[in-house]
Amino acid sequence: MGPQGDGGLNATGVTTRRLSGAGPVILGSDVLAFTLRRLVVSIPVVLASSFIVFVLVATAGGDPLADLRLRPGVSEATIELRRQELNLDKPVLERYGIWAKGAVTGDLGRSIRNEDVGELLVRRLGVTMRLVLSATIIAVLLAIVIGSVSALKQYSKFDYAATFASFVFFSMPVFWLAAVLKDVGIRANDALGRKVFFTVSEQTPNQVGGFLTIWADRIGHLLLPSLTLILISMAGWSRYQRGSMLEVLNADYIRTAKAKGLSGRVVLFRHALRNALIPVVTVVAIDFAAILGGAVVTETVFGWAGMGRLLVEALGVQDVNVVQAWLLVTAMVVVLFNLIADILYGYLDPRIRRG
Amino acid sequence: MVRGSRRKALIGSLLVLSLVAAACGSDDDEGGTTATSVGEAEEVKDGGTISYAAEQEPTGFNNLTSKDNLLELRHVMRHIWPYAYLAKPDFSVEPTPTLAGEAEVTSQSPFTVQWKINPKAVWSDDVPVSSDDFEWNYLSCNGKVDPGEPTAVDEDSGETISGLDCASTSGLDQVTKFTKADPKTFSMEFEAPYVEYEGLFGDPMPPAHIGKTLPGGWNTGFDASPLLSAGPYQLKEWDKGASITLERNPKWWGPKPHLDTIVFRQLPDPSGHPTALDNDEVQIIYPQPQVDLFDKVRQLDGVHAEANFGPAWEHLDFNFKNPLLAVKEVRQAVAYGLDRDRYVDTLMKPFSDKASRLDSRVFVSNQAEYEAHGEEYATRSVEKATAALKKAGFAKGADGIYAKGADKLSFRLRVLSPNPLREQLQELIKDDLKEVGIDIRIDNFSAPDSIGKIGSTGDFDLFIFAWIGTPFEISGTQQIFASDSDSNFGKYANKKVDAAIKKVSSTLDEADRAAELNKIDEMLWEDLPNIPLFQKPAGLLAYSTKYANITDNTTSEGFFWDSSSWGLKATAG
Repeated sequence: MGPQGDGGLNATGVTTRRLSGAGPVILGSDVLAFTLRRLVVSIPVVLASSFIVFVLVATAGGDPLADLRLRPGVSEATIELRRQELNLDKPVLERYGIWAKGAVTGDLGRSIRNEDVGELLVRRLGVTMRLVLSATIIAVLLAIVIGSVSALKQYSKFDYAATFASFVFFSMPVFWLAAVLKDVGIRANDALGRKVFFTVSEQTPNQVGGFLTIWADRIGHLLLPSLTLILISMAGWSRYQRGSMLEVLNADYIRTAKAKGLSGRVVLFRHALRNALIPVVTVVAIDFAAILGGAVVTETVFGWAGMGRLLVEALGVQDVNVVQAWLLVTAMVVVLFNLIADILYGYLDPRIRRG
Repeated sequence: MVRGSRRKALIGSLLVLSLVAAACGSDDDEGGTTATSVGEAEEVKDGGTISYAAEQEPTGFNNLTSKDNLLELRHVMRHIWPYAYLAKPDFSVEPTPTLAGEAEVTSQSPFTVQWKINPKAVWSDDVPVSSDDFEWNYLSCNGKVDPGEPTAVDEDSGETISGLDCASTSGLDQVTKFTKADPKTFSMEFEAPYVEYEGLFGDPMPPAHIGKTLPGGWNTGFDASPLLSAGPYQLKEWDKGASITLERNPKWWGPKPHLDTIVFRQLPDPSGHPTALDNDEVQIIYPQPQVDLFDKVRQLDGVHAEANFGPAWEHLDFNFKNPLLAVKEVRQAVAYGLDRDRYVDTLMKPFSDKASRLDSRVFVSNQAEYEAHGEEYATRSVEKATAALKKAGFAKGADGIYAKGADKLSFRLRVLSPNPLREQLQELIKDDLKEVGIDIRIDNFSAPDSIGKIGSTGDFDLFIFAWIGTPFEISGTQQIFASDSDSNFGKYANKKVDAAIKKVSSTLDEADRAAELNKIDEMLWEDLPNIPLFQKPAGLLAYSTKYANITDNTTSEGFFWDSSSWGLKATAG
């Protein structure tokens, strides 16, 4: 019996049917059909959510042109022009229709400040990807190792230390951790006599030098925000991994495997770890989609103009086109990562053949 | 030929006073001040770069469009595109190297002003900066073209121009005729004497010779790049979302700047600016002043920090539509009851011991013409306050609040919330007036309501906010106190004040103008349409001490006003 029992719930709440007996990992055609089915199912979800968010943002009660109106000297004609350009003079349903029609053809419209939303989104997503991708990979690997070792050496000094550290980082406000890390980074720079750690943005503007210089600069900028994300993410994920691993290690089939005389290494990696990864995969898939939607605090504190900041800025001025674009991307990311998680279940547990 | 004497006005598109942008409800308004410091010129070496932490990023480079009318962009564009006058820290103005000299009033009737462009002034493509550039600015911002209309024909020039988005038409909408005498000389006729003409063309203007034929033209043609420069620097690179880098313009005819490059790094969160400065990732910052941020910066080694008085001033407004507040003695009682010095001590002194009460509505203390009036109300006096109320027939009720019949002196005091500074101020005022026998009911509002909306609908009894800008004292005074002005929120009306404002509007002599304005302020102290409280700091200027010759300028020109003389100290490594 697997860690979740027969027929558990996966990340998306879809019941999985587990077939007894070992079999090949999901067949190629199965994967394709499964993927297509899931994608088709996600279309109405995205459509419904886009409609709800559009209506909520558009009818929130504020005035997207308030900033313009407050400025001295802006003529009524100019304000009226902007109102028409942004379709603010039309009913909400018609506005949604215009947006949806454009979105289908790849035109995400223009922001209140007249920027191309598609271009804006690509730029911001790129920034967030650079920030969170490496941090997530490192955090996952560390969480798996620490969680697994903690489980294997339950109640050891390492377990206590890891548990303590996890709870400290888990409960620590991100902005505070970031501020502490910045301070430590500056002190380290002073001690080293050279700038290794950077506290703002993605790179030094107009950096000159060879390949190594440029990459050292980029990595230097990535260190502190990544470390912030790694510590916070790893803290939670390692607890999942520890709990999951403990459950698996106490399962009957592990005892059976040991009784069969399998080596500890085979039992650990092929039977225990593999099954214990399933809950972590679920959590990481959901969390990663959320982080990609915006590590808002980390982005803000470290001055990275990513997706999180984009959303906060857009909500502040009721920039409905930008909020919609953000929603589209994050919704697609959520769908995609849940899909990846489901496929990974199949790989990790061959009994899961199809959803 | 008629000429004004020494000019006293601020340059900029803010021809009229504006509501403090930051008044829209953030901690940004918290602040205090120290005296303006003007550093002595120090020897610097040529070369090097300086990075500034910019909080806003533009979407394009035409600062005159409503979409990109941002202060941070003006900091950039003042280095690139030409403009007419420079406002100095003492609020005096002088022509920029774009002009050949002072603009001159050539006729009183019709009121006509002539500008001469520097013969050396040239765009970076070697095309001269000409009357055409100024004319394009005029046509785009005279308010005669509806931005919603695809095209219109200018009556004077006969030129066809497309709908134009201009952030401010103030001043240029008073012009009746634009005449190009030659490529380097032009004049404008006004419908009425317009003595604050030096404020015109105060924002960097785009090149007409390529702009007119550019796809998108005035409105969006410069979104990707300013294309050309006629300033000390030119655009080197715009890394969207990250930085804007300027490099020296080899065609610049003015004083050669010392620094090779100026970098505007996009760092919207001011709380990160001190650490970035400490880590030498930026070398100059100018966040809105906040006590904790100021303390943090002050502790940094190798950093100079100062907060200076700005043109924004806080005040308490009365609504004359409230019959009780229309009674002069009631307003007097409030004025006597306020301990304005205590408000300064509590709210402004944490920044600087030099913070002080503001006793004028027409000049701020930075200006030489500033005169303190309203001595009567300088010191708090509960006795005088209650005496004024009794004189008007009010009697103290059992609850300690004065009333006349059923009319009890109980007023709604409003501010835009959240705003910790003003909310603290409200409590202080409430306590002070309770002692007098006037009940204050705090009734704040939040976004999406705005100061402009609450003010224009008159939905208040007492109201605290700040006016900012004061680029031109006359325009500002007219806007706040003229009986027919939309921004006269309290609906104060005095025909004598209206007449005095009208008279000063056509007074050319600077000294006479200042005297007349000070007279108006004395009249306002008599009537008490509002009570000025104190000036607020413009921002917190902090920079690495490796650099020299950086001085603050709290006018709309900003602290970059003298960036050509900035440089690395000759002794710096």
